[in-house]
Amino acid sequence: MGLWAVLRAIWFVIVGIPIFYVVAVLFGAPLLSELYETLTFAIALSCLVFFPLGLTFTSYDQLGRLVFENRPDTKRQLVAQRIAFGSVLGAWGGAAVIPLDWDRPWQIWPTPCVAGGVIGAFLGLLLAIFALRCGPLTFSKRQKWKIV
Amino acid sequence: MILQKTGRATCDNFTQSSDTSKNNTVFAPNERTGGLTSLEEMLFYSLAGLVQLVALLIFAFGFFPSKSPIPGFATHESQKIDGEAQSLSLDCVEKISYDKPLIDQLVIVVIDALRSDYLFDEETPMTFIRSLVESGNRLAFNAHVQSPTVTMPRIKAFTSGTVPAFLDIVLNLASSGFSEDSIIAQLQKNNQRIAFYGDETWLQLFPNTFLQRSEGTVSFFVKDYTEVDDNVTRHLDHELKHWNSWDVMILHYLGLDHIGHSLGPKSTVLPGKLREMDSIVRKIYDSLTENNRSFGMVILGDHGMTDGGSHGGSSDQETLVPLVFLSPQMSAASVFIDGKRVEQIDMVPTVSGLLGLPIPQNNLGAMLVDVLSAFTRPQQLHEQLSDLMLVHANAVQISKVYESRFGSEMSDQLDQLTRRSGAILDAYCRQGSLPEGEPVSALIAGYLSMIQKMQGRLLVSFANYDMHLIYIGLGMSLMVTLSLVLRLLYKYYRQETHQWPSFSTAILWVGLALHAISLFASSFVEEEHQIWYWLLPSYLILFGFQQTGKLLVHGKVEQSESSKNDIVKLLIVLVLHRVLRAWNQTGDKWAHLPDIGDWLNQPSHKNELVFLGIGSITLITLMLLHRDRHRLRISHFLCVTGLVLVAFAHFSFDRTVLCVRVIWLIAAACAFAFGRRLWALAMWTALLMKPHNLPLLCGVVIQGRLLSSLDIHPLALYFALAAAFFYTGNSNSLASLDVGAGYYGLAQYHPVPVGLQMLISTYAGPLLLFCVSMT
Repeated sequence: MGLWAVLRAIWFVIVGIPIFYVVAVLFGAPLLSELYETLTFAIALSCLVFFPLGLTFTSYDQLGRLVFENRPDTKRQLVAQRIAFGSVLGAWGGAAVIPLDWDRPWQIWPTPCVAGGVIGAFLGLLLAIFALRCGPLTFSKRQKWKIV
Repeated sequence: MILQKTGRATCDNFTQSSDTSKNNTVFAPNERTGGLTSLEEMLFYSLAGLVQLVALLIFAFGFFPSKSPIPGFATHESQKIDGEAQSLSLDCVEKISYDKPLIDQLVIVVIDALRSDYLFDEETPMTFIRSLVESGNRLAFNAHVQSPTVTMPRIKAFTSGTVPAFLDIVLNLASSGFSEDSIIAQLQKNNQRIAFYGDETWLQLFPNTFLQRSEGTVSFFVKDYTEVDDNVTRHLDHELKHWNSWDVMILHYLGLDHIGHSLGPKSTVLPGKLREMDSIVRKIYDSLTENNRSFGMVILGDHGMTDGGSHGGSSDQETLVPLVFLSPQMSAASVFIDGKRVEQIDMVPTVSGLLGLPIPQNNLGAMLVDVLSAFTRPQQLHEQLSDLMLVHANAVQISKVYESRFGSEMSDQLDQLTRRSGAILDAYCRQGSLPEGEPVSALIAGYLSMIQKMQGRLLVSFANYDMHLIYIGLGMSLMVTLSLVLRLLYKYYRQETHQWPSFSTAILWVGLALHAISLFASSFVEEEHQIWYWLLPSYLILFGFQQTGKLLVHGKVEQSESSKNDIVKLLIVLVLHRVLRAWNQTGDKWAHLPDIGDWLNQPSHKNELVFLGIGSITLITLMLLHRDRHRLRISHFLCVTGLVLVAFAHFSFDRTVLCVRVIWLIAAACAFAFGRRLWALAMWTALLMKPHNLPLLCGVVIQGRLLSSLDIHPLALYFALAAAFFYTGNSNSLASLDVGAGYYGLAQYHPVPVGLQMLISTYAGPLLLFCVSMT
């Protein structure tokens, strides 16, 4: 994992920003009127999701297997994948507090989603550590779950 | 299995996952249905549906409590301290009798949707009403009103002193005469002359009452907030000049409510409207002061408004309204600058007392003694005794209501108080003074605390639900749900291979559970659209992600083409969804935010509105034609004519009765003579939509076409239907119901067509989406 891996990860993050911006808008974020807020969310999520994936990247085929079929080749890839999935799930779930009528400042977009993403990433990391410490590792075999 | 149509997709999708789907497509019929024949299966589901419906009905009966008012009208005799039983000399009682009015004239000014902070805020534009505090000519209360905060039930409440039932909302549309005892009925029985100007609802509630002079203003055109009030005010000069010709004048101003509905409570025209109301009050007050008749004024709001500008619910903003008594004859000891908290129905016995009328039979209000004692009367002692008799009348009257509801638990206390006040009256009549150690004020306080106790229990009981029926209904519903879930699990268990549902299917079930859980929080009920606007894209994006994965990982040639197609279609549906959800802001918290609908409704964007409206009707026509392209018949000519007429109805005929009825005829012909039911539905929904919502229908039709061609789970269609319900600006609040849509093509009120058209226009989005995606 050298300099190139870091540069590739940064490149991944930059590509990821518009993707998450579009996703946020599709979920209801204003198109342009809250540009900074939505951009903050997109940058944060892109960092949480694409930076670990970029760091452990080996090939696009492997990335596809890792993301869609839950088949990591190395321990690092497993950790990266759990962090990425955790942060997406966290950001998704964080949105749930926005409509509540508590009128707290942290309920305003994008705070709960960014916070949810960070918490989700942390939980993903914990899960990964737990899996690596306790679970029997079965790399590149049929996994218990997968997306496709 | 990939290109399976949604409409025909079965619950087996639950157990599908892409690589096993090929092997699983051929089920033995036995396994498919889990041991039941298809007839038995159908019976099972029909029965479940039927029981669910019955459960809902039982629940509704428990949830909407009925009330049984005491029939007939109150008289003074029934509410007096019984002179003979107390062996009092009758003419003495006559002398201090409370049935002599304290004022000769009363003006009631109802300002629709006047909420508390509009008057009690320090920077209120209503400066005249506020300035009367210093002279003691004003008594202001912060009155609490009961739900539903809708005009018609509220008028019933503050004229009769009762709590409106929730079912009154249904009657709100059909407001027929109000036959219960009320202030108005009592005024009429006692030959008082009433002049009325304002909301037409009053004329429907009390027909043949305001014979002398009256004019109703219709409250359907919410966009009008000047003329609707000018039509009331223009009669004022005449009435004030002929002040001798009426005893009670009622004015009901709708403009403020209309501003709330169309521009929101923070609108810049709102302070001007408040100033206008204030100047009208001042005009009446000043003009009547010059005459030599004593008079009083009551100024009240019938309900408040939310920050979204609507009303109907039970938030503080909707349920707290000012209740102000003004009179030059008043010299209030305490002024309650910020308003003492009372019930709005308390005004009923108070007004009855001021006018010397019997208190309406079913009244639950408690006499506002502060108001009575603020009116100066010649003899101090006399005055106190008169107050005592008024409070006694109130107590007797309310204890009858209490008795009819709970049995006679309070009668002991009342008897004791009656005996004590009888003794006081007796002493006063014989010796001209009060007995030692029995202050009248203590007795009044005793009565009041008793009245308030009864009022508290009665108010709760009228707002109460029949918990038994609710539990039975909920229990039945739960049993049906459980048996369906068990059936599903059993079917799953009977299958040979057990597969986890795919990720996108799983999120549907999780989403369904999350939605059910969310309904336990009131803000998620108010903002239910947010749940669906969150779940639908979640599913669609995950489904698209899955299709992308298939394309990348499996990469089979024959699959890739359809996957690519699917992804493009999903993207279109997603973008459409994003646009449609921005069309009408709904819910409670963000309902006031500007949206595309508001933009289109601005007068300066008239051209865009017409262009978009006609464009979307054209597009709907083309899409429906494209759908029927293989079996075009002559009858399609009629269908197209119908839709073209709808466009004309919207933009050149203003949907007049004749025009709407012609379209009804064409739609009926299309549906029943030629079997083109989808065309008929499109015509009818497009006809009833507000013009700015026509593009919504077009978007929903596109969504339906695209979704039906995708291999999505049936539950996903349900998500889309739920979202489509909210696109048109619907919410779980009654306030978002478009009442006006029911009346197109009708000259007067008929319950069936009005109800049917309101149903069609409310559910236009999901109806059209469902029918398009199913056929």
